[in-house]
Amino acid sequence: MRSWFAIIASLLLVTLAQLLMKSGMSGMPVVPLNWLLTEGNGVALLQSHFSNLVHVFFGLMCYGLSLGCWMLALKKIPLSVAYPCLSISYVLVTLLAHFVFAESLSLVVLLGSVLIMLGVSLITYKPGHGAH
Amino acid sequence: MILVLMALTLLLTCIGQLLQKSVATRTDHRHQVWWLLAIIGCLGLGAVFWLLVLQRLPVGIAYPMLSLNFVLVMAASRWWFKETVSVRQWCGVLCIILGVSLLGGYA
Repeated sequence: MRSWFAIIASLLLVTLAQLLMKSGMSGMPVVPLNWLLTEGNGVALLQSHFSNLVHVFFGLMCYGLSLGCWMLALKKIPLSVAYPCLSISYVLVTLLAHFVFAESLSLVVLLGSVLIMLGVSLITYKPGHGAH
Repeated sequence: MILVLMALTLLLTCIGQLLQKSVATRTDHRHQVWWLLAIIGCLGLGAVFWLLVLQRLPVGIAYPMLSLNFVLVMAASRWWFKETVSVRQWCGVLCIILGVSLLGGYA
């Protein structure tokens, strides 16, 4: 039972991690590399966009926590079941990005995400290796 | 530019995972630290390129595309580690490529 909580926590944390990293990075201006490496520019950019970096930082933290929960879950749940569970995150991120960031969501995009979830499940699931 | 960043993210994550597999199955334990540093380097650099992708693409489109990693790792285990790939897994590859193509049309 605890392993299933760990899988769900891993799924939610990895989803949250992507949303946090996106919210941080989408506010960062796209600048040329040689400008960024010119003395002072890089530091100034990081200082002026500190709150963006905080989002990215917490995103990476969530990603790390998700990895911890994943390891915990794998003590009981085989990979061939755990991966299909985690692949729900593809559809979850697509849906939440629409509601949180107002990213456009069409039936085609949703179908793409669902196909990907199905594809990862087909690759990773092995019958006979289910959790007992 | 986006394609290059995405390709670099996928390539580095894939190499990082294959290195993990090699380390886990190696019987020779010399230079273990260097292997681990190489793995952390690949995955860390992959994460940096991923952040640059997120800066430019909607996350709802870009994140599912990371699933191509499963296809890359599977192809590598087929040709490098000589693992067998079942018909069901090939169907999975087809689904992922189809899904990524649908999303790619909106990127």
